[in-house]
Amino acid sequence: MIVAERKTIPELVEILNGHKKILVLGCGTCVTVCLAGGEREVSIISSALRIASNIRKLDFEIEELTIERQCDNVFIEQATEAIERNDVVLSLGCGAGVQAIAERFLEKPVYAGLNTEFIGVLEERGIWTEKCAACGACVLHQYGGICPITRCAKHMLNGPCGGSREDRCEVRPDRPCAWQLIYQRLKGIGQLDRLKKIAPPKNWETSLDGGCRVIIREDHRI
Amino acid sequence: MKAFENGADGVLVAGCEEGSCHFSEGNFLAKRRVNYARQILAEAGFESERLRMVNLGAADPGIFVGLVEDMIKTVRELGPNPCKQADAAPEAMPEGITEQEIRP
Repeated sequence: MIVAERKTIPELVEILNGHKKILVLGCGTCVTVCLAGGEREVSIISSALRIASNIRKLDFEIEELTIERQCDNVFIEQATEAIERNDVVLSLGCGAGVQAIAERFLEKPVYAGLNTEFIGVLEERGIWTEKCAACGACVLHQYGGICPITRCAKHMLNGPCGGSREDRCEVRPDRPCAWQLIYQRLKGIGQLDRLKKIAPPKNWETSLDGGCRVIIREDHRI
Repeated sequence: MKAFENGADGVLVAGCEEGSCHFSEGNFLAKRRVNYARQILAEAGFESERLRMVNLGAADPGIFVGLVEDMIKTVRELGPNPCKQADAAPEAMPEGITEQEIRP
């Protein structure tokens, strides 16, 4: 899932300053699961903004709404009336959600209330870790299901770098060395031979280096 | 958060005595949530001291009274909720609970 974190209240106040009628719009999918932008967070952030507005006399009028998915026009439609009756939208969706709303309502300022961080998983309660860089050419099958691009700080396809201490990454000692994990995993599934093969330099054109990506499925187009 | 938004001068969250919560670790989780709410309140420019969590046993009225008195003292020192001041004409600080009312 996409993992995000809320911006601080002073940051949001600065973004919203000068506006009056504000719709705080949550998203019921990824950012709900990572406790950043679901119905509960919409309520908390809206309360904090009302309190800040009262104290600083900013005159905010805040409406709250959460839709199932901000990155999908079918669900965005459900927010149309609320968006139209407010001056501005503070989206608690991910970066895709914010832009989907902004593209549909050209006359309406749409601001991001979250910082979209990464594609990851819930490691344990309250801890999310990054797992995928969405590089567009997955190599997980070669590395025992552990992504060296995302989880090795040096993105090495032919590791390890030699800088790890015990099983810790030398760049982020609080994180395990991805290449230690790859070795253990491949050993466990009897595929250590894979490490004898030298991986060629990665073609980053499939990632952001090739420009903003588009997927077209002709079989689903009307 | 809603209580403060609506003008409450202070909120005292009372949880079970640590280690004897019916919901096992529920009171510890509640304390973390309260701390998070305090952080957001502070970010909003609101005195986070107005929100406090205490833990005590169900059969500790004496301790409870002391904790409530301490909370009242804190709130009196801070004065009225600034949201209330901004919304309406300044008013005198409410007297709060009398000593007779909080006596066990």
